[in-house]
Amino acid sequence: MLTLLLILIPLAGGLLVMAFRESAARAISTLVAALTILVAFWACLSWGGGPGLRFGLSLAWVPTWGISFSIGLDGLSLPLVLLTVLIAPVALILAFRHVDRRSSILYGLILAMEAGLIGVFAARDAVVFYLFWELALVPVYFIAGFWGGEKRVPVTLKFLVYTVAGSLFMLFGILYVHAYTSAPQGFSLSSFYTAQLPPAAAPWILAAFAVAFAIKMPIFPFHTWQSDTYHEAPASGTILLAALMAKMGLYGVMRWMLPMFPASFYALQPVFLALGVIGVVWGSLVALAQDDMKRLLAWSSFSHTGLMAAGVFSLGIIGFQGGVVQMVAHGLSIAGLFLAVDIFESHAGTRRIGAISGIAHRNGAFAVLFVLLALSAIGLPLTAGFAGEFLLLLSLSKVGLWWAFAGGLGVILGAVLYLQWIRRSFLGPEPAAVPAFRLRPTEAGALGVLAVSGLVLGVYPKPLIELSRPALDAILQLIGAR
Amino acid sequence: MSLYLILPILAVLVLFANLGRLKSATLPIALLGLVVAAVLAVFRLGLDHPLLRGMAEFDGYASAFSLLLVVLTALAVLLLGTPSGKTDIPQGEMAGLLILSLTGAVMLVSYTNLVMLFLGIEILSIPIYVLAGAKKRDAGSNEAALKYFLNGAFATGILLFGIGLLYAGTGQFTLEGIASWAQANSSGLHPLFHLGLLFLLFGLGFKVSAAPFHFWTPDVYEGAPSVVTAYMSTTVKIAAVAAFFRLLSRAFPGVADRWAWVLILLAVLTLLVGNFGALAQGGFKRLMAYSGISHAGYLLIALLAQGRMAAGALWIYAAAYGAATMIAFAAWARLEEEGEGDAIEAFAGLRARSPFLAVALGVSMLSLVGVPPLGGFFGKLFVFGNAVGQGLIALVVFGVVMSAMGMAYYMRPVIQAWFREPKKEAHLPLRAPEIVVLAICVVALFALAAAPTSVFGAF
Repeated sequence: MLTLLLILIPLAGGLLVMAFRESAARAISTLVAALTILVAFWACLSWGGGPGLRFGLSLAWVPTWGISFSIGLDGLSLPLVLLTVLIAPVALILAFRHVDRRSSILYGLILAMEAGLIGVFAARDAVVFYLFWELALVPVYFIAGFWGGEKRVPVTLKFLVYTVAGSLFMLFGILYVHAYTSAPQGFSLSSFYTAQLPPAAAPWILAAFAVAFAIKMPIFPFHTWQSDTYHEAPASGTILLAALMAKMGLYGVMRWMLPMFPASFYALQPVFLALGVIGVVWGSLVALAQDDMKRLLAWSSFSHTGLMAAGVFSLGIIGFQGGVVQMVAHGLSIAGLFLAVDIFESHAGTRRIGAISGIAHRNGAFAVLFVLLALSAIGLPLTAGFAGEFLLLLSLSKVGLWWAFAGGLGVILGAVLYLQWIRRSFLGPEPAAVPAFRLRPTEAGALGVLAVSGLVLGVYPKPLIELSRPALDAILQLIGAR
Repeated sequence: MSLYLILPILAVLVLFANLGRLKSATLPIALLGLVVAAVLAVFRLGLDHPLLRGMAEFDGYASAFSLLLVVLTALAVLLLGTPSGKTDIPQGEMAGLLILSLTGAVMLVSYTNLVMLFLGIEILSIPIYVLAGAKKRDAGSNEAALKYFLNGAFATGILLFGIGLLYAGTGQFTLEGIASWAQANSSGLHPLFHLGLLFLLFGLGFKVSAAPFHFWTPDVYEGAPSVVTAYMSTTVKIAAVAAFFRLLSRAFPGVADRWAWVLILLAVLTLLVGNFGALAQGGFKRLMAYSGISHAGYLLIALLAQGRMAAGALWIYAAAYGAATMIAFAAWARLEEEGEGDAIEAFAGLRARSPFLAVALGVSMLSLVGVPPLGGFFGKLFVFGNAVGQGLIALVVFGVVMSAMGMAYYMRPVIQAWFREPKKEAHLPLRAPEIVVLAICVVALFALAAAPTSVFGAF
């Protein structure tokens, strides 16, 4: 029931908000987002310990086809749901910064996307999963297409065609697996786990799922939509894409793809690892060459995603743990960084790195928050990024030292990247006219919460690790690779 | 008996009402009659077996499809009541002809005898020849009527030839008779049987506008008045597909290996022509014509499966396609009235001019692509699911690729409507009938997600 509330509140709230004027819509959407956070925290409080599914709900939907509306939360879903309910308000705060006549629709779309994301993380039935998967896509397409930059129309169309093509391959995969579930045939997660695919077909169906998830994350070579889309989308949309939508793909890999085709995956594991690791290095290198802050963050995010994927593909509890920690850590830091870039742009009038230096001289608080977020993105010890990246690299090293070495190289390049950015924008000589940034309380608060929660998670990641451990163990048991 | 009687009577009534003083009452009469027809179809009142001395059987299949066809026709009749539905023929006559054509459509979903199939096709088509040319002074409309007539006559000829050959080969006109004959003589099927079957497939291929029999479609859809196009691309196509399914699943289930490959070939070709054709279009009506062709391809895939599940999948697919297409043409008819040209760019800035219309258009296009939770998604899910269950893996993968391509052109009107600035700032007020049609279709597209089970139960 709680899970249903988590989906219904933002969905209904989002539809409702669209009917109101901007000022009223702003109040209502804040309320809806806050209410969703409360429900999520309530779920945390009544969680208890141990393995198993919580707050499950299963309603018959199309019994003839074995489709049921099944949702529920476990230790893997909950951290991502928490991340979603925390990031959606940040997207709202960003949306509040750029008000126009149609902003109430933007607020509604953000909330609708929140509902879709939570649904993806909660779905226990393949059709339900697919439904929310697409529900999370359509709002962000309209956000980027409507409020985006100059080249938004072709860029977002490419994004849409790309991701829908991936989704449709997944749909085919779902239908194929369904045909091989044991009688009575169904679409439930458990029946998908036990489906007996013909060995010759399994790698192809694995590929159908993998393409959908790889496009969504994205990992190399399915990333060509990413940089343009992040760049053209308005900041609120970029945050949703980078901090949340990218996690859908990795979640899908862990929840659906790996436990369904472990044998085929093992055969192809080096390919997957290589794609992930190539992304880590490639993303960092390309990011080094960017002077637009949004593009830099897009490529850096691509690099981080590659590392997460590679760590998860290494198939061990350490890699899985690292994946979960890093998903949360990356979500927090990248959201904060995009928010900071938007604040920077609105005051400095440019997003070009190096256009203005020495910002820290007059904007100490902003600089500190930015550096904290950037350090988490780098993976400095005591930040959440460190906890995640350390586990991921450790897990990679267990598969092969070279994998870890290549991944580590990307991480080092990432450090160079952020430190250079900090040096060029925040330090250095103070020019005559450095603008003073006046942070609104909400913006300062959001940046603060994101930065501090990254720190807390870095210093004390134990609750998150303990929360996700039983669920990850269960998945690994299915894979049979402990 | 009742539905077969009430529809022609209604048609004549509407035609006469139009002559006398009841001119303003023609559309209400027509709508009321159609509501009664829908009720009769749902509850199968006065439609006991055997019907017409065994020429037809009003089973669950006929009931479900008749309901769909009657509702779609009623929506088209509603659109006639707006200024955008105006042609050179009085509204009453248009409505009467539509209902007459619907009679044929109902026959097509309930026949058990090939003679009825032929009669149904003719009764369905002949009023359309007139309706397509309803804009008497418009060259395009005249062209549409002539092209549709010539192609239609040709197709019917082929169909009739097929029926004749089949009779020569089997000595049977009834669906059950042919099926049992084919079963009894499965080792030595007469060449005439195969030839007749092939001609039947081709004849019906014309009617559903499957490639390579699709050439008439874009020109006819473009030239005919938009309301008539809406009717043709929904009711006529769905009736033809439903007749196709009934034919294959009842008369030729045992010899599926003989016709399945023809259908697969047609489906692949139709999907290719429809999708690549649609990509190249600049005009909205032509885009929708090619969209109709590509959906004919998916519907052909639906015909490959048999039984209750397959019939239910076909119904859901057809209903979702019908509702979405009806929205598209209703929206287009409204814009046409403003005289803004044929191009998709006429939708520019629609969200500012009429938000409701823009939302409906978005829902329609997303459903045609197959985005959940809209009806189009469930249509694709069930149709592809059946095909996978039959082992038609390559065909489904091909269909999936084609669906992804659909995104590229179905989004074009949506992009215009939502992301482009309007050329004219003028508000675009919707009239009551248009609002009703759009609302019914939008609700239906969402409702199809909620109630697929009851649909499967109906067959």
